[in-house]
Amino acid sequence: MAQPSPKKVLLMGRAGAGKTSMRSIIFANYLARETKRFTYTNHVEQSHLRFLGNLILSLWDCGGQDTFMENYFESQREHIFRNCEVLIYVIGLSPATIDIALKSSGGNEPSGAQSKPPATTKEFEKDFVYWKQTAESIRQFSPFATVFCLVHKMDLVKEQDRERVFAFYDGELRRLGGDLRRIQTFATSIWDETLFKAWSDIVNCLIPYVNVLNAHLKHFCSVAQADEVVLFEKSTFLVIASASDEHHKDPHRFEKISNIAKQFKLTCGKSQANFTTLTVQNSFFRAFIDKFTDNTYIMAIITNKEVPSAAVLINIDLARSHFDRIAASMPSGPTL
Amino acid sequence: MAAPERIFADDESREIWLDDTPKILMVGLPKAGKTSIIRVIFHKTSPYETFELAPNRSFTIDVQRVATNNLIRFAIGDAPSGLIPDESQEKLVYSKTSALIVVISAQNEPYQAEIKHATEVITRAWNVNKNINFEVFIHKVDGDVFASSDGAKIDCQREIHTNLMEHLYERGLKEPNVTFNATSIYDHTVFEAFSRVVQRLIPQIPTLEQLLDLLVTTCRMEKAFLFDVVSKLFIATDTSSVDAHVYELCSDMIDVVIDVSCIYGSMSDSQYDAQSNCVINLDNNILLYLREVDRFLALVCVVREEYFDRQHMLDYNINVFKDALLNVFKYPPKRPNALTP
Ligand SMILES: Nc1nc2c(ncn2[C@@H]2O[C@H](COP(=O)(O)OP(=O)(O)OP(=O)(O)O)[C@@H](O)[C@H]2O)c(=O)[nH]1
Ligand SMILES: Nc1nc2c(ncn2[C@@H]2O[C@H](COP(=O)(O)OP(=O)(O)O)[C@@H](O)[C@H]2O)c(=O)[nH]1
Ligand SMILES: [Mg+2]
Repeated sequence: MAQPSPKKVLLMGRAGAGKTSMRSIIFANYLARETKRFTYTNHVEQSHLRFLGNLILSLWDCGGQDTFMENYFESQREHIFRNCEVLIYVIGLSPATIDIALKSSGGNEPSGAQSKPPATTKEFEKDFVYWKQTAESIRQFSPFATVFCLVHKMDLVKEQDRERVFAFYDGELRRLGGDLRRIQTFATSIWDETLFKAWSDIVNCLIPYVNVLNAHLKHFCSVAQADEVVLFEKSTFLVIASASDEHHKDPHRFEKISNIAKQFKLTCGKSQANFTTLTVQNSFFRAFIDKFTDNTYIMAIITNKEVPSAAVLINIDLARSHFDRIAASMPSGPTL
Repeated sequence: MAAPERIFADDESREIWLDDTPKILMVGLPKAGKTSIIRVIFHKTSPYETFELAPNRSFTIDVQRVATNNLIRFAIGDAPSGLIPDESQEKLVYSKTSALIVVISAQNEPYQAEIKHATEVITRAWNVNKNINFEVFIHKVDGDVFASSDGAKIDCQREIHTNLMEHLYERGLKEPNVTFNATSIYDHTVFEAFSRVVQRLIPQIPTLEQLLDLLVTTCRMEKAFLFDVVSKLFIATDTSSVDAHVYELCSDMIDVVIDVSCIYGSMSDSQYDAQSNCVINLDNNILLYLREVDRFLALVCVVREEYFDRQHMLDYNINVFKDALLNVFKYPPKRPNALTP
């Protein structure tokens, strides 16, 4: 199998936005609270991350202090923005910016610049100034890149205001992004599962043949008489593929499972161990989370009481070798 | 400060305080972390959300009842910061107190005000009621100062311990029943410490320990815990020593069970029911097994994989344990530290 070249992923945003925190939680097994100790990132910190065996991400964590940012748009512009497959632009909310966002999105128009405290307005606008420049640079040097914008630290916004704040940022980011294609926006926080949702979508756009995996998973789901089946990457627990037979009330359930499994994995790590299988049940359902192929875990949910647990486990075993074969037959697909 | 007219927030609080269930009173200086501890354990508030807690300014004790199952039954009083009830009230407060938790922030060196306050509260409570269990939580042992090594933690504990005991001795308390715990809401320590406080209030504990010992020996388990799944406090364990990592695994297993059941359990019914169970295989030959044994009670066992091959034997023994548990509830012994009027 050909050794694929690394895929460049740019992580941009102002200092303190939360870039290093999120990358450490997703890829380096940090707990959310451990990020309190992080200091500013100097210049660009590059890391190579192996995902699903032979997918290599070259993640550029670009320190966001003003002097660095200015450099990125001037002397280093081409170096930073060329050959980029994915751009992730992070806006970290703060009480001051949340306040302004809420005021600007309220019914009445903001009554001019002089009514706002000037210092915070400037901070607020900087996120957009840099975004505009980032969007222009990426359009010029990597026009085919997929672009994600994360409105981050959503936990700082009161529950009832979250939708409004997010809608405001979503609108502004799209407006200022110009004719940039394919922008996807997410509201995220390191304190809940939203981070897993955003990053699952981010890595999904880098995995070739996701559709093939989804199709095979769908087949497995019906053979095993499962309500749904989900495939997770082994070390990050990000969702790679899924198939559901039933409509389910909670659209965020997969990222919640990612979060639950990852937290438990971290606890296991303290005892120098990891879990290989995990089954939970009550009188209504059975959930099987099993180490699947070399680089994945699988989850199957069964509510049909007539399916014996042993049968589920046998089906998972059979699917395991089947998926190994699928992966091997793909020219440059994921090594599951 | 003028003496407040009322010591309890409302009639309901007063009524709860005067009934027969054991009472736990939390005291401490402002920002010590009393309310945070209660919120994190009993309201599932996540630790980072405690930054916004408003101080209890009402000068009255907030009382809440905790009664989730047959064993977890008590009330907690959250006292206003720095409270020292005056002579007209202290009889009312302390005669009903079973455990007095003094919360001291470990991040407030050199602890002079803290020691002074703790000495005063403990001495006065002792003078009213000699049966109180005094529990000192040396709290907030996390963050930069304590992260790097255990040394800082031990030094701080030793300092507070020696100082406080000396002060108490000077005030005439020769052998007060004081227990010290280092705690933080950011990890399992506060759950473990609070579990121990609660255990000292449950008269059935020796019996439960015997039952667990029997179960552990019969089934060749490494360890067994009885947990309250609502608060995640552990009520009892067998008498072998508790390994911190094993305890964390068992405690986090409860989160896994509850969180997954919340997603996939049926909408209408309770998520934790008689069929609730969970099996987790670890790659070091250890297996974790959780079974419902009574309303909101879970038995969590740590077993070597090779001894789990006959699961029906294990289940049979757990059922025997369940039956014994029912008998324990039926005939509770008298609470040892109730003050006889
Ligand atoms: N409340 C809250 N705080 C967060 C969140 N994500 C990160 N933080 C905090 O924000 C602070 C800054 O995080 P970093 O990850 O160092 O920020 P950065 O974007 O890498 O900053 P530079 O490297 O200087 O560009 C840390 O104290 C984090 O704990 C979040 O979702 N909510
Ligand atoms: N670092 C740390 N901070 C804590 C801990 N427990 C509470 N706090 C913080 O201490 C502050 C005061 O807590 P609060 O419960 O209001 O104190 P109270 O006045 O004693 O009720 C809050 O900002 C909490 O977030 C802990 O274990 N570690
Ligand atoms: Mg950084």
